[in-house]
Amino acid sequence: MKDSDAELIHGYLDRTLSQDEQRLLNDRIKNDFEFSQEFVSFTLLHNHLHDEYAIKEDLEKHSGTMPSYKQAASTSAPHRLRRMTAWSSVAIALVLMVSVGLFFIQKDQPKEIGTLVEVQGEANVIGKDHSSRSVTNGMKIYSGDKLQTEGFQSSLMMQYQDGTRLLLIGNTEATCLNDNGQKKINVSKGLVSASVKPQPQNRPMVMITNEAEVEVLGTEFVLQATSTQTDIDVSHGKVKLTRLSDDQSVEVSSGKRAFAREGTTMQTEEIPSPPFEWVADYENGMKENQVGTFVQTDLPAGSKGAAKASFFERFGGHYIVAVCNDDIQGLAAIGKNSHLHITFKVTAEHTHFINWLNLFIATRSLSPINPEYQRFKNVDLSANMPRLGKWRTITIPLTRFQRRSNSDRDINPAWTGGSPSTDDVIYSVWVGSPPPDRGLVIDKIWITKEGPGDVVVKDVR
Amino acid sequence: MQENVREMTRLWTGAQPVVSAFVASMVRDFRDRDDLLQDIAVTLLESFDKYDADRPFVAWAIGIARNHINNYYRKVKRDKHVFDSEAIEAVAAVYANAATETTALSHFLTDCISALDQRAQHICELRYHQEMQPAAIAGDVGMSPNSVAKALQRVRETLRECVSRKITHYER
Repeated sequence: MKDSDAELIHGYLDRTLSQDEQRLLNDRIKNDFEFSQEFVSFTLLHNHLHDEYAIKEDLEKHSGTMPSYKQAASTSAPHRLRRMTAWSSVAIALVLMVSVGLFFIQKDQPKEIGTLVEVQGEANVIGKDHSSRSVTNGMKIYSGDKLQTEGFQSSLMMQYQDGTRLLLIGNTEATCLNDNGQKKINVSKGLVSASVKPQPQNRPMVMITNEAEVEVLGTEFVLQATSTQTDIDVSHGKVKLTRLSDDQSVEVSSGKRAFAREGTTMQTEEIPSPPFEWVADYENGMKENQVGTFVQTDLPAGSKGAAKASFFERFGGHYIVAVCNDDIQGLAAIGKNSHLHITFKVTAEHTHFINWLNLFIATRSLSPINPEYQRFKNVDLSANMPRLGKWRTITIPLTRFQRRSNSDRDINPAWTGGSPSTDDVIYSVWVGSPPPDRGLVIDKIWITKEGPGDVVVKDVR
Repeated sequence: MQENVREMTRLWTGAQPVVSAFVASMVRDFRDRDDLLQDIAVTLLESFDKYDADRPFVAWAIGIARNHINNYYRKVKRDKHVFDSEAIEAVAAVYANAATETTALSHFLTDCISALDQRAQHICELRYHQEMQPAAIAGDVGMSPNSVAKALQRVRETLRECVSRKITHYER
């Protein structure tokens, strides 16, 4: 940046500009995008510095460590306290606005049926009275509570008082009821795994979906419900799956799966092993489990479609392309020499702070009740960015992905905690970056069982 | 708490630092900034049903903040104005994409301030804690006002570079 430009910006922050200089500042902002970026960068810093010192002052005041010479200055700056209380008053105003017109009458004490033992990602618990409760490990679950998880990296595990466990994964909703000692779970949608302790003969646990009812005496299984089909995989024990539309039923035992869908014959089959190879090439548009915007221009030769990164608030406000399969089988099994390949380009320049792309995969084991979700990161994509607008394919061994090595999930997590296990499956891949939009476009993502054993980068015409 | 209020509160918590900086960049007086932020928060809550969840919340909040700033300019004396509506719009457009820089500053600024040399920290303290202008700081530190202005510029540039280095290391 030119010295004169820098002087304009810093002079504005320190209120040393003349009227003419202020007019010049105004015009530079209007007519020069890079100048306006610099202006924003420094005003952002200026605001943070102000608040940083305000917080420090308040901490000193409350801890009694504020030197006396500062106390006089502090009391002469009442706006600092106003700044801290501004947010309190907004928060209070929000709560008050909600409380006005709301009242609760609790006629029956709800029956406690279990506790939450683990939560990841976005999850809610909504009571019978439609009130939402903050979700925390160890919180009590009552009969009539609706459990919700949202997003493919979310999960919630609940344990009943007899040790039976339910695991909700991805976009799932289930309401838990206790009907005279009988466990009933209404699964409106999504994926529920269960490990069920032996139940009384006359009171089996019952899981109900839009299409089917599952009676469980004691077993481990995974149930997946959509609006038109219910799938069930049984790993141990036996369940009875009944289609609600015509009462047709089938017994599903260990190692078998069945599904209930209107108009099809109910039968069991072996649970297939997940494949080692998988591809998302967007040739026929975007599928339901894919995140991004379908594009058909400026593609590599022979390609008919690609996915452009879309903005998702839910992913921490990132522009991303993602593929996910919440399904029991995931996208692909992980072999000893499995590789991930991506053909991609970026079309927009990076900002002062942001010049990377994040590449993550998520894995889980095939155990129904202890799937051990893990997330792995890879830095090779970010380190091998193509020139703007140019396509590049990068091949990365899955062994080059690493999970977090420490429990610090906030600042500076170390991603050196080990690579994905070959007993597990990949169930999601996502690529993205925080704003501004980098113009990331992905032509193809695929996983192969074999590969070169090292990172390979190739420009694509 | 109703679901929409809960959701709005969650989104506002993330967006507030960016909106705060945008408003401060336009009005400069931090008391006025705080007053405007309260009004903006209430407007966001009242119009949350109009928010399109497919759009970034920060951009939407910045748009509402821009309207409040225009109203503020209409009410205050002309000599408090620095920017016309086109300039406000240009700044708003850049701020709409500034969420990540804000997060970086929140995470790393304290460390970067600690890494400044003693003189730079002292000048920072006088400017941001004591809220002294360069001319007043000059008297305290025995420099000319121009030198103080230059020193403040260097401090901000150093802090920005420091945060930038830390965020680059974090993502690698």
